[in-house]
Amino acid sequence: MKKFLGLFLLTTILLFGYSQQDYNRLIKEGSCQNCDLSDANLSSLDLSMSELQNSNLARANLYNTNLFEADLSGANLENANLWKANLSFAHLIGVHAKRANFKGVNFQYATLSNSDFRYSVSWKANFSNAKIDKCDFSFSELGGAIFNENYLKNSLLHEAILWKTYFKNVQLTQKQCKDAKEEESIFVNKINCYGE
Amino acid sequence: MHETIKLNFTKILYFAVKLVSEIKKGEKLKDYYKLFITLLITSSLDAFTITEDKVFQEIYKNPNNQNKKVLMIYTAKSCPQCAYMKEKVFKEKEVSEYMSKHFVVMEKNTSTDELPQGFNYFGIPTMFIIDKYGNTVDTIVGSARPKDFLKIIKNYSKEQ
Repeated sequence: MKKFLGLFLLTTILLFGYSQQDYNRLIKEGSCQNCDLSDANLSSLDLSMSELQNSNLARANLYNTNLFEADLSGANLENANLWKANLSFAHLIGVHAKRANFKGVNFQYATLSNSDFRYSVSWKANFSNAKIDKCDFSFSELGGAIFNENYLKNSLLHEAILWKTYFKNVQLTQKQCKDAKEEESIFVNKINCYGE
Repeated sequence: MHETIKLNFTKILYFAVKLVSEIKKGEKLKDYYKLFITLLITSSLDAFTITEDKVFQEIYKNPNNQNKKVLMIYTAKSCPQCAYMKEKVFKEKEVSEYMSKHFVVMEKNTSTDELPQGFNYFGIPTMFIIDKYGNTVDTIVGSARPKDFLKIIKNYSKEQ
Protein backbone atom coordinates (compact mmCIF):
# COMPACT_ATOMS: atom_id res chain seq x y z
CA MET A 1 0.00 0.00 0.00
CA LYS A 2 2.83 2.34 0.98
CA LYS A 3 4.61 1.50 -2.25
CA PHE A 4 1.47 2.25 -4.24
CA LEU A 5 1.00 5.57 -2.45
CA GLY A 6 4.63 6.51 -3.05
CA LEU A 7 4.30 5.65 -6.73
CA PHE A 8 1.09 7.67 -6.97
CA LEU A 9 2.72 10.71 -5.38
CA LEU A 10 5.78 10.39 -7.60
CA THR A 11 3.59 10.15 -10.71
CA THR A 12 1.59 13.19 -9.59
CA ILE A 13 4.76 15.21 -9.06
CA LEU A 14 6.12 14.14 -12.44
CA LEU A 15 2.86 14.90 -14.21
CA PHE A 16 2.26 18.27 -12.59
CA GLY A 17 5.48 20.12 -11.84
CA TYR A 18 3.55 23.11 -10.61
CA SER A 19 1.89 23.71 -7.25
CA GLN A 20 -1.82 23.00 -7.52
CA GLN A 21 -2.43 25.62 -4.83
CA ASP A 22 -0.59 28.26 -6.88
CA TYR A 23 -2.40 27.22 -10.05
CA ASN A 24 -5.79 27.53 -8.32
CA ARG A 25 -4.79 30.94 -6.97
CA LEU A 26 -3.89 32.14 -10.46
CA ILE A 27 -7.15 30.89 -11.93
CA LYS A 28 -9.19 32.38 -9.08
CA GLU A 29 -7.43 35.71 -8.61
CA GLY A 30 -5.82 36.18 -12.05
CA SER A 31 -2.46 36.89 -10.39
CA CYS A 32 0.17 34.90 -8.57
CA GLN A 33 3.49 36.31 -7.42
CA ASN A 34 6.40 34.05 -6.40
CA CYS A 35 4.39 31.06 -7.53
CA ASP A 36 5.44 27.71 -8.89
CA LEU A 37 3.64 27.34 -12.20
CA SER A 38 6.32 25.31 -13.93
CA ASP A 39 4.91 22.91 -16.56
CA ALA A 40 1.41 24.32 -16.05
CA ASN A 41 -0.97 24.47 -18.98
CA LEU A 42 -2.12 28.08 -19.16
CA SER A 43 -2.82 28.18 -22.88
CA SER A 44 -5.45 30.57 -24.25
CA LEU A 45 -6.21 31.98 -20.79
CA ASP A 46 -6.92 35.66 -20.27
CA LEU A 47 -4.15 36.72 -17.91
CA SER A 48 -4.17 40.37 -18.94
CA MET A 49 -2.84 42.72 -16.25
CA SER A 50 -1.93 39.73 -14.09
CA GLU A 51 0.90 40.02 -11.59
CA LEU A 52 3.28 37.12 -12.06
CA GLN A 53 6.44 38.65 -10.62
CA ASN A 54 9.17 36.15 -9.68
CA SER A 55 6.98 33.20 -10.62
CA ASN A 56 8.38 30.01 -12.03
CA LEU A 57 6.82 29.44 -15.44
CA ALA A 58 9.55 27.17 -16.78
CA ARG A 59 8.19 24.86 -19.50
CA ALA A 60 4.70 26.25 -18.97
CA ASN A 61 2.33 26.20 -21.92
CA LEU A 62 1.23 29.77 -22.57
CA TYR A 63 0.19 29.21 -26.19
CA ASN A 64 -2.14 31.99 -27.35
CA THR A 65 -2.39 33.34 -23.79
CA ASN A 66 -3.38 36.94 -23.30
CA LEU A 67 -0.70 38.56 -21.13
CA PHE A 68 -1.53 42.14 -22.10
CA GLU A 69 0.04 44.51 -19.55
CA ALA A 70 1.01 41.56 -17.35
CA ASP A 71 3.97 41.93 -15.01
CA LEU A 72 6.40 39.05 -15.48
CA SER A 73 9.38 40.76 -13.87
CA GLY A 74 11.83 38.29 -12.37
CA ALA A 75 9.86 35.36 -13.79
CA ASN A 76 11.45 32.18 -15.04
CA LEU A 77 10.22 31.44 -18.56
CA GLU A 78 12.92 28.99 -19.56
CA ASN A 79 11.67 26.56 -22.22
CA ALA A 80 8.15 27.95 -21.87
CA ASN A 81 5.88 27.96 -24.89
CA LEU A 82 4.43 31.42 -25.55
CA TRP A 83 3.62 30.88 -29.22
CA LYS A 84 1.14 33.54 -30.40
CA ALA A 85 0.81 34.98 -26.87
CA ASN A 86 -0.08 38.64 -26.44
CA LEU A 87 2.62 40.39 -24.41
CA SER A 88 1.84 43.93 -25.52
CA PHE A 89 2.46 46.50 -22.76
CA ALA A 90 3.79 43.65 -20.57
CA HIS A 91 6.70 44.13 -18.18
CA LEU A 92 9.58 41.72 -18.61
CA ILE A 93 12.33 43.00 -16.34
CA GLY A 94 15.01 40.56 -15.22
CA VAL A 95 13.27 37.66 -16.94
CA HIS A 96 14.97 34.32 -17.59
CA ALA A 97 13.63 33.21 -20.94
CA LYS A 98 16.37 30.97 -22.28
CA ARG A 99 15.08 28.62 -25.02
CA ALA A 100 11.53 29.93 -24.70
CA ASN A 101 9.25 29.88 -27.72
CA PHE A 102 8.03 33.39 -28.61
CA LYS A 103 6.95 32.62 -32.19
CA GLY A 104 4.48 35.22 -33.42
CA VAL A 105 4.34 36.94 -30.03
CA ASN A 106 3.08 40.51 -29.85
CA PHE A 107 5.59 42.50 -27.76
CA GLN A 108 4.31 45.92 -28.86
CA TYR A 109 4.99 48.63 -26.24
CA ALA A 110 6.29 45.99 -23.82
CA THR A 111 9.22 46.72 -21.50
CA LEU A 112 12.05 44.23 -21.94
CA SER A 113 14.93 44.99 -19.65
CA ASN A 114 17.94 43.08 -18.25
CA SER A 115 16.48 39.82 -19.52
CA ASP A 116 17.99 36.64 -20.88
CA PHE A 117 16.47 35.59 -24.23
CA ARG A 118 19.38 33.44 -25.36
CA TYR A 119 18.46 30.57 -27.69
CA SER A 120 14.84 31.69 -27.68
CA VAL A 121 12.74 31.27 -30.82
CA SER A 122 10.99 34.49 -31.83
CA TRP A 123 10.14 34.05 -35.51
CA LYS A 124 7.74 36.76 -36.69
CA ALA A 125 7.49 38.32 -33.22
CA ASN A 126 6.49 41.98 -33.20
CA PHE A 127 8.73 44.20 -31.05
CA SER A 128 7.35 47.52 -32.37
CA ASN A 129 7.72 50.35 -29.85
CA ALA A 130 8.97 47.95 -27.18
CA LYS A 131 11.38 49.48 -24.69
CA ILE A 132 14.36 47.15 -25.01
CA ASP A 133 17.23 47.69 -22.62
CA LYS A 134 20.23 45.46 -21.89
CA CYS A 135 18.68 42.23 -23.15
CA ASP A 136 20.62 39.23 -24.38
CA PHE A 137 19.23 37.78 -27.62
CA SER A 138 22.41 35.86 -28.45
CA PHE A 139 21.87 32.66 -30.47
CA SER A 140 18.15 33.41 -30.62
CA GLU A 141 15.99 33.10 -33.73
CA LEU A 142 14.58 36.47 -34.72
CA GLY A 143 13.86 35.75 -38.38
CA GLY A 144 10.95 37.70 -39.81
CA ALA A 145 10.59 39.60 -36.51
CA ILE A 146 9.60 43.26 -36.58
CA PHE A 147 11.69 45.91 -34.83
CA ASN A 148 10.24 49.38 -35.13
CA GLU A 149 11.23 52.35 -32.95
CA ASN A 150 13.60 50.31 -30.78
CA TYR A 151 16.96 50.97 -29.16
CA LEU A 152 19.05 47.82 -29.48
CA LYS A 153 22.51 49.30 -29.03
CA ASN A 154 23.01 47.98 -25.50
CA SER A 155 21.43 44.58 -26.17
CA LEU A 156 23.23 41.53 -27.54
CA LEU A 157 22.33 39.93 -30.85
CA HIS A 158 25.42 37.75 -31.14
CA GLU A 159 24.88 34.85 -33.60
CA ALA A 160 21.14 35.52 -33.71
CA ILE A 161 19.19 34.53 -36.81
CA LEU A 162 18.15 37.84 -38.38
CA TRP A 163 16.94 36.50 -41.72
CA LYS A 164 14.38 38.85 -43.21
CA THR A 165 14.08 40.62 -39.87
CA TYR A 166 12.43 43.99 -40.37
CA PHE A 167 14.20 47.05 -38.93
CA LYS A 168 12.61 50.48 -39.04
CA ASN A 169 13.79 53.50 -37.04
CA VAL A 170 16.05 51.31 -34.94
CA GLN A 171 19.36 52.13 -33.27
CA LEU A 172 21.97 49.39 -33.70
CA THR A 173 25.71 49.04 -33.24
CA GLN A 174 27.90 48.81 -36.34
CA LYS A 175 28.44 45.10 -35.67
CA GLN A 176 24.71 44.47 -35.35
CA CYS A 177 24.14 46.38 -38.60
CA LYS A 178 26.79 44.31 -40.42
CA ASP A 179 25.39 41.01 -39.11
CA ALA A 180 21.84 42.02 -39.98
CA LYS A 181 22.83 42.96 -43.53
CA GLU A 182 24.63 39.63 -43.98
CA GLU A 183 21.50 37.88 -42.80
CA GLU A 184 19.36 39.65 -45.42
CA SER A 185 17.48 41.77 -42.89
CA ILE A 186 15.10 44.36 -44.26
CA PHE A 187 16.05 47.95 -43.48
CA VAL A 188 13.43 50.65 -43.77
CA ASN A 189 13.85 54.37 -43.07
CA LYS A 190 16.38 55.60 -40.53
CA ILE A 191 18.75 53.01 -39.13
CA ASN A 192 21.39 54.41 -36.84
CA CYS A 193 24.46 52.22 -36.81
CA TYR A 194 26.67 53.40 -33.98
CA GLY A 195 30.34 52.59 -33.43
CA GLU A 196 31.29 49.90 -30.96
CA MET B 1 6.51 2.41 -39.95
CA HIS B 2 6.94 1.49 -36.28
CA GLU B 3 4.06 3.80 -35.29
CA THR B 4 1.81 2.11 -37.85
CA ILE B 5 2.67 -1.30 -36.52
CA LYS B 6 2.10 -0.06 -32.96
CA LEU B 7 -1.28 1.42 -33.91
CA ASN B 8 -2.45 -1.70 -35.72
CA PHE B 9 -1.16 -3.91 -32.95
CA THR B 10 -3.17 -1.86 -30.44
CA LYS B 11 -6.30 -2.26 -32.57
CA ILE B 12 -5.75 -5.99 -32.90
CA LEU B 13 -5.05 -6.34 -29.19
CA TYR B 14 -8.23 -4.42 -28.37
CA PHE B 15 -10.35 -6.72 -30.50
CA ALA B 16 -8.57 -9.82 -29.21
CA VAL B 17 -9.41 -8.81 -25.64
CA LYS B 18 -12.99 -8.05 -26.70
CA LEU B 19 -13.19 -11.41 -28.44
CA VAL B 20 -11.99 -13.31 -25.38
CA SER B 21 -14.47 -11.48 -23.14
CA GLU B 22 -17.29 -12.20 -25.58
CA ILE B 23 -16.30 -15.87 -25.70
CA LYS B 24 -16.68 -15.94 -21.92
CA LYS B 25 -20.07 -14.28 -22.19
CA GLY B 26 -20.97 -16.46 -25.16
CA GLU B 27 -22.39 -13.49 -27.05
CA LYS B 28 -21.89 -11.99 -30.51
CA LEU B 29 -18.92 -14.27 -31.02
CA LYS B 30 -19.40 -14.58 -34.77
CA ASP B 31 -19.46 -10.80 -35.39
CA TYR B 32 -16.34 -10.12 -33.33
CA TYR B 33 -14.49 -13.01 -34.89
CA LYS B 34 -15.29 -11.68 -38.37
CA LEU B 35 -14.13 -8.18 -37.39
CA PHE B 36 -10.94 -9.51 -35.86
CA ILE B 37 -10.02 -11.46 -39.00
CA THR B 38 -10.89 -8.48 -41.26
CA LEU B 39 -8.73 -6.22 -39.14
CA LEU B 40 -5.83 -8.64 -39.30
CA ILE B 41 -6.02 -8.68 -43.09
CA THR B 42 -6.54 -4.95 -43.61
CA SER B 43 -4.09 -3.75 -40.97
CA SER B 44 -1.19 -4.28 -43.33
CA LEU B 45 -2.98 -2.74 -46.30
CA ASP B 46 -3.77 0.77 -44.99
CA ALA B 47 -0.13 1.59 -44.24
CA PHE B 48 1.56 4.06 -46.58
CA THR B 49 5.21 3.64 -45.80
CA ILE B 50 8.14 5.78 -46.88
CA THR B 51 9.50 2.99 -49.09
CA GLU B 52 6.20 3.08 -50.99
CA ASP B 53 6.58 6.81 -51.63
CA LYS B 54 7.15 7.45 -55.34
CA VAL B 55 9.64 10.28 -54.80
CA PHE B 56 11.60 8.15 -52.33
CA GLN B 57 11.64 5.25 -54.77
CA GLU B 58 12.80 7.55 -57.58
CA ILE B 59 15.67 8.84 -55.44
CA TYR B 60 17.07 5.37 -54.90
CA LYS B 61 16.55 4.32 -58.51
CA ASN B 62 19.39 6.69 -59.31
CA PRO B 63 22.69 4.80 -58.88
CA ASN B 64 24.40 8.01 -57.74
CA ASN B 65 22.20 8.14 -54.63
CA GLN B 66 22.86 4.65 -53.32
CA ASN B 67 25.23 5.85 -50.59
CA LYS B 68 23.22 8.93 -49.70
CA LYS B 69 20.56 9.46 -47.07
CA VAL B 70 17.26 11.21 -47.62
CA LEU B 71 16.57 14.40 -45.71
CA MET B 72 12.80 14.67 -45.72
CA ILE B 73 11.66 18.14 -44.64
CA TYR B 74 8.08 18.83 -43.56
CA THR B 75 7.08 22.35 -44.52
CA ALA B 76 4.03 24.59 -44.89
CA LYS B 77 3.28 27.65 -46.97
CA SER B 78 3.23 30.11 -44.06
CA CYS B 79 6.35 28.90 -42.27
CA PRO B 80 9.22 31.41 -42.20
CA GLN B 81 11.52 28.89 -40.52
CA CYS B 82 10.98 26.45 -43.41
CA ALA B 83 11.73 29.21 -45.92
CA TYR B 84 14.90 30.07 -44.00
CA MET B 85 16.09 26.47 -44.16
CA LYS B 86 15.31 26.09 -47.86
CA GLU B 87 16.33 29.52 -49.12
CA LYS B 88 19.23 30.35 -46.83
CA VAL B 89 20.66 27.32 -45.01
CA PHE B 90 20.48 24.64 -47.73
CA LYS B 91 21.88 27.14 -50.25
CA GLU B 92 24.82 28.23 -48.13
CA LYS B 93 28.01 27.19 -49.98
CA GLU B 94 29.45 24.76 -47.42
CA VAL B 95 26.09 23.23 -46.53
CA SER B 96 25.09 22.89 -50.15
CA GLU B 97 28.36 21.16 -51.11
CA TYR B 98 28.18 18.76 -48.20
CA MET B 99 24.48 18.01 -48.71
CA SER B 100 24.92 17.23 -52.40
CA LYS B 101 27.53 14.62 -51.52
CA HIS B 102 25.69 12.92 -48.68
CA PHE B 103 21.97 13.71 -48.85
CA VAL B 104 18.99 14.05 -51.15
CA VAL B 105 16.38 16.54 -49.99
CA MET B 106 12.74 15.53 -50.24
CA GLU B 107 10.08 18.07 -49.29
CA LYS B 108 6.57 17.36 -48.04
CA ASN B 109 4.01 20.08 -47.52
CA THR B 110 2.03 19.07 -44.45
CA SER B 111 -1.16 20.70 -45.79
CA THR B 112 -1.14 19.44 -49.36
CA ASP B 113 1.00 16.30 -49.57
CA GLU B 114 0.20 12.80 -48.42
CA LEU B 115 2.53 12.01 -45.54
CA PRO B 116 4.05 8.60 -45.00
CA GLN B 117 2.99 6.80 -41.85
CA GLY B 118 5.27 6.71 -38.87
CA PHE B 119 6.74 10.16 -39.44
CA ASN B 120 4.99 12.08 -36.71
CA TYR B 121 5.73 15.75 -36.13
CA PHE B 122 4.87 18.34 -33.50
CA GLY B 123 5.99 21.42 -35.35
CA ILE B 124 7.46 22.55 -38.63
CA PRO B 125 10.02 22.45 -40.03
CA THR B 126 10.74 18.89 -39.01
CA MET B 127 13.50 17.08 -40.85
CA PHE B 128 13.84 13.31 -40.93
CA ILE B 129 17.14 11.69 -41.84
CA ILE B 130 16.21 8.42 -43.55
CA ASP B 131 18.38 5.62 -44.90
CA LYS B 132 17.66 3.79 -48.15
CA TYR B 133 15.77 1.06 -46.30
CA GLY B 134 13.31 3.61 -44.98
CA ASN B 135 14.63 3.64 -41.42
CA THR B 136 14.65 6.95 -39.58
CA VAL B 137 18.20 7.70 -38.49
CA ASP B 138 17.16 10.81 -36.60
CA THR B 139 14.80 13.77 -36.51
CA ILE B 140 15.69 17.47 -36.45
CA VAL B 141 13.02 19.88 -35.27
CA GLY B 142 13.15 23.61 -36.03
CA SER B 143 15.69 25.72 -37.83
CA ALA B 144 19.41 26.16 -37.30
CA ARG B 145 22.08 28.54 -38.59
CA PRO B 146 24.15 27.13 -41.49
CA LYS B 147 27.24 26.27 -39.43
CA ASP B 148 25.18 24.60 -36.67
CA PHE B 149 23.14 22.69 -39.23
CA LEU B 150 26.31 21.51 -40.93
CA LYS B 151 27.60 20.16 -37.61
CA ILE B 152 24.35 18.23 -37.09
CA ILE B 153 24.24 16.62 -40.53
CA LYS B 154 27.93 15.76 -40.42
CA ASN B 155 27.17 13.50 -37.46
CA TYR B 156 24.64 11.49 -39.47
CA SER B 157 26.76 10.97 -42.54
CA LYS B 158 29.65 9.63 -40.43
CA GLU B 159 27.77 6.36 -40.10
CA GLN B 160 27.98 5.69 -43.82
